Amino acid sequence: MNAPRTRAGLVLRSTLSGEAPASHLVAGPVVFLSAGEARAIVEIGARTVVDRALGVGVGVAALGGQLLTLLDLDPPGPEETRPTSRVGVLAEIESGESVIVAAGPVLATGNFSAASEGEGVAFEGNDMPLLSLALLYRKVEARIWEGRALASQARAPASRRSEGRIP
Amino acid sequence: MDVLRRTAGVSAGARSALEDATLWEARDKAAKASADASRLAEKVTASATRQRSQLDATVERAALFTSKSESATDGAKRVMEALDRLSVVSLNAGLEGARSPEPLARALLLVSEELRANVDRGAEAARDLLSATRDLTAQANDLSQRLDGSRRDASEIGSDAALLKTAAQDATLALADLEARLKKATGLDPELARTLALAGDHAKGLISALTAIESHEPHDVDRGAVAEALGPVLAPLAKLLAATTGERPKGGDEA
Repeated sequence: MNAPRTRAGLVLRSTLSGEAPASHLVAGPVVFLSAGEARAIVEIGARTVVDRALGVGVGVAALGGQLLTLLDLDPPGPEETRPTSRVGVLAEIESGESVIVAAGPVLATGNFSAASEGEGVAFEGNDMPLLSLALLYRKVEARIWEGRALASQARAPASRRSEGRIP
Repeated sequence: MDVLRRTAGVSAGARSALEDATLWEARDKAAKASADASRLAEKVTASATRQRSQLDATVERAALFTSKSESATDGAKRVMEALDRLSVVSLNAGLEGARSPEPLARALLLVSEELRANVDRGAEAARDLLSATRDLTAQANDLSQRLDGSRRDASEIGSDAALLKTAAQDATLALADLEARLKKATGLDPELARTLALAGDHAKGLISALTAIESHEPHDVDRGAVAEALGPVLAPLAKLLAATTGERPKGGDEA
């Protein structure tokens, strides 16, 4: 069976550079989100980032009266104040959970020619990699829980640590 | 000749009446200058007041202009916001078109493309407009600040002119006081003093001319002819001087 010649979705600018820890997930400044995950482009209301992993900020964002999980691909640093984009992408990942992806501006939507390699698309003469939100979400979540588990172990008394139990 | 010299203040000795008359003349000049200064200060005060009112009106216009340009900037921002929302609509139409089946997909994608192209053009024009209105606002603010400075300057000129007018009026009062004291000190009436000063000037001119004639060598000058020429004028003059000063002429040819 031949691979489809076009792919539906959108391309958006992500500031995660090749040096960021998530570079194995987001390989370039412009990435492709499949229409299978991206549902709509939305104006985000209030948002807050509560944790970070792999260069991605995780938090909550308000959308039409609902609070949804936020994946911020361009989170401001703790000491940094700068305007953030009001536009994000409402996406649905494999588990059926809705998340909001905040990044740079959405550059285009529609059907794009498939990239010469991989699952990305060709955009303005260049191949843009696919950003799998489901994969990103799983990895980021796993990294966050891993960090919390390590922190809890470090805080537990030595006697309980030797029993191998985490409070 | 001595009478003439005394009248002209040339002879040595006590202060002559002519010196008193000169004092009066100086006082008159000072009074005239003071009156001129007072009149000019009044004119400057009136001009400064007019300038101040004109500047007030201009400052008001500049403030109105600043307010209008700020409104235009707000309007351009609202246009930008509306275009941003339209951009989101066009992107969503594209995304929906990409996942919809034909023939709906093609229609949605066409609408999305057309909308996007026009939004981009509109956004560029709105950005230019926003930049121009911001520039206008900045220029208007600068103009307002400069006008405020000019208004302060005009206000200072007005205050200074008022002070100048007061000073000129004080000078006039001081000169009036001086006039009273001069009258007492010299015993001269101002009108008489002016006439005396005038006569003194003429006397100085006459002395100068007669001294020039005196200085010629006797054989160069026909004294008889000189006396014959000047006699009809100088004889009544000598009599008049004698009558004015209370001295008797020493001889018919004294003058």
